[in-house]
Amino acid sequence: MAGRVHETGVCILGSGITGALVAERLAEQTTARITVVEAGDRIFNLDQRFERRDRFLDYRENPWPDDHIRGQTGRGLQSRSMCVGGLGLHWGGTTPRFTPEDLRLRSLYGVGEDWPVEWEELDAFYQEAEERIGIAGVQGPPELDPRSRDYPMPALPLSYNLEKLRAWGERSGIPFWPNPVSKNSRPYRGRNVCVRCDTCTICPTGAKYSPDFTLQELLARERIELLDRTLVRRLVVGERGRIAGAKALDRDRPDEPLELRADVFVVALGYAWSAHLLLLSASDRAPAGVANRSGLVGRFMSGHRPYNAFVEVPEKLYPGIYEMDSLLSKSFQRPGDIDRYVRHDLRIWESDFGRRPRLRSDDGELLLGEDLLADWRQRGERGAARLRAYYDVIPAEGSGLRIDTSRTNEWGDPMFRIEMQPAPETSELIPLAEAQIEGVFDRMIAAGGGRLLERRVSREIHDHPAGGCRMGADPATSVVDPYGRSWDHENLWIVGAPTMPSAGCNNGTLTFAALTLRSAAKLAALLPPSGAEPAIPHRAEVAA
Amino acid sequence: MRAVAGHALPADALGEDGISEQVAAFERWSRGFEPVAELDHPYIWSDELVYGPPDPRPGWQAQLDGLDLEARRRHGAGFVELPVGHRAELLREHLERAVPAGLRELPFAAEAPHVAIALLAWWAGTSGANDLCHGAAIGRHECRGLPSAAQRPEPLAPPSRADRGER
Ligand SMILES: Cc1cc2nc3c(=O)[nH]c(=O)nc-3n(C[C@H](O)[C@H](O)[C@H](O)COP(=O)(O)OP(=O)(O)OC[C@H]3O[C@@H](n4cnc5c(N)ncnc54)[C@H](O)[C@@H]3O)c2cc1C
Repeated sequence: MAGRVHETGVCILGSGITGALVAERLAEQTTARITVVEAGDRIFNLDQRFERRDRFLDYRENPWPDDHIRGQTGRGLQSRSMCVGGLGLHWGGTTPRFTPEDLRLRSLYGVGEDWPVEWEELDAFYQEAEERIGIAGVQGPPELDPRSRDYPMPALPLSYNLEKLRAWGERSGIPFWPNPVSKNSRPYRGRNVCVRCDTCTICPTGAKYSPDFTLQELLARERIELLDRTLVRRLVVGERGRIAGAKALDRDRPDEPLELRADVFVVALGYAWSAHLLLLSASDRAPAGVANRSGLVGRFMSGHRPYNAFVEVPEKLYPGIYEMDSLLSKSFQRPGDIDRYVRHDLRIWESDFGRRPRLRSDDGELLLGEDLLADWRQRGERGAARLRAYYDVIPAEGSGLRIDTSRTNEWGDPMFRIEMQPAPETSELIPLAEAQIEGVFDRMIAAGGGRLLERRVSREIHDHPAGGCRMGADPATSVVDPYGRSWDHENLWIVGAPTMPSAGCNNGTLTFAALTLRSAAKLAALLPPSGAEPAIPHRAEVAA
Repeated sequence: MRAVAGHALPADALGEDGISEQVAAFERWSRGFEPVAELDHPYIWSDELVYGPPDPRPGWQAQLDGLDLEARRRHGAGFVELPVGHRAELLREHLERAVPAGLRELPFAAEAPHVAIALLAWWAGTSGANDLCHGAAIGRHECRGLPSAAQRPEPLAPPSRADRGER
């Protein structure tokens, strides 16, 4: 069957947060024709979200029932969500910045790699990301939480529970402040204020940022074309190493081949699918896969490991005031001089751990009716908190994603397997990191009162995974240059999570977004300028 | 169901009318249940999709029928007509048989091993039950706006005799 060809200027693969931000930045600053290609469905459903939220609460149903593609998955994948907006429809919206140490691990601590980025420059792109997304926050102590400007929105007010927990936590001498979030504390960019309904996995009012809002706005302004339900299967290398096109599949017309042609391709497929597509695209012209002359596509992937503790505190708390909100401390992300590399963040949430209604008493008696209520009330007299630290795990070279030919999608494409491995220089530090975190939990309990209920370290989890196409200054040891441009293909850019040399020790998405905007700024300078002022002025440019 | 609810739910705290309201709401919830629905992707480790349980309602109906039949065989009267003490005893016997000893937490209502536990688990998961436990209008999962977050939740007004269905 004869195929179709779609031609455009910039072809952005992926419509998650990173894809949406590249599209927005380029749409403002250039006149380039922009197409966003997304394998999943278009779920523009603000009007249905209350109903879906109700079913999620009542029946635990997936509030985004059309958000995945049957058979399109890989071992070790973080989330099955594949749809317009990507994982950003589900996300919790926690958006701390990394700290300057994350960019200088080799020079400061002798582990991992230094990033080819200066903090001052990243600060400006963080600010831009915070303004585009809409972050509500307040700066912590400046020496722990450096930033050169205020957040675009004031922090959400701390709940009664969190105020109590802040006082409890700070008795240990560790400062805590409100965790920054992508939830509106005032109307922002046409979206509502958070109503504290506490189901951020589906925000029924649109107060939480999700990339579908950006894309809808760009569609309404006719600044982008969106090809949804279109799975990109291979990138094709043409003359002089340029990416000549991409082979895609329109899921509504699977028998009709679709070819995407563009001057520039931007891979914004997230940490897993980016490396997967590049490796699947191996051909005579790119035998090890596209952009993979270094052999490092899919390598050096990492995330941070969560260590949780549940603690009884000597306070009456009221579970359910605002469970999604939390407190943050960066005291251990900026540890100053240390002998061994141990860094982690620290958060506090209200919790109902050990305070939920239960079916049997301690001695195994069935609890019904008034007995159940009395037992529940008695355990609720003292509140509980969840403490969590994410500690940094520096990846080994072999840590990451490989093509798994034993498993294919509906159209016969092999899927992948992710296996994370810590670098040898950090694996011996893991017990120290865990011991330090236990010490911090103990210190908080000793100072604030209460008792430890349970500790849980999850060694299999690497949260906010990143890497797989790391950036660097040397083509032999990196996949992309410091701005995300492929060393091997001049018209190919890879943005966001995959480009990170290490995954830090707090939620990564704001950093993925900041790096993406930095790539977009560099790319925009190579495209025909629009001459228009960007809607969100870029701070570095404003300063200049 | 109403007779079972009088023993499964906290009857004093909810009162007669409260129990009836909870039963009606539970029945609405069970009518809306969709068997083997796709569940929310768990965060992390969700390379496979997860589906919910099949329809529990036929099993629940059989349990209610079983309670009634046993009441008739043992006491010569339907479960509803039994004196309160006999009802409580019979229900507890059924539950001791149905509920595995290892089940210590309240399950997801649709996966409960007995309809009485399903009702209890469903009720305990409501915002109203959380408020009742803490004696305060917390309003978990309700749209409450941001400003009131900082306040200690208002104490619940004690139910009036009329609220409790007493005359
Ligand atoms: C439940 C949940 C809660 C979270 N909470 C937080 C949080 O509080 N804070 C935080 O920092 N992070 C959080 N995250 C992580 C955060 O959501 C992600 O880091 C972020 O959304 C990733 O954006 P992305 O653009 O890099 O990738 P994605 O969102 O994965 O976007 C990539 C897109 O590419 C599409 N795609 C993939 N392959 C192809 C192909 N071959 N052809 C066409 N399209 C393709 C995918 O369908 C997808 O839409 C959370 C994630 C989940 C699931």
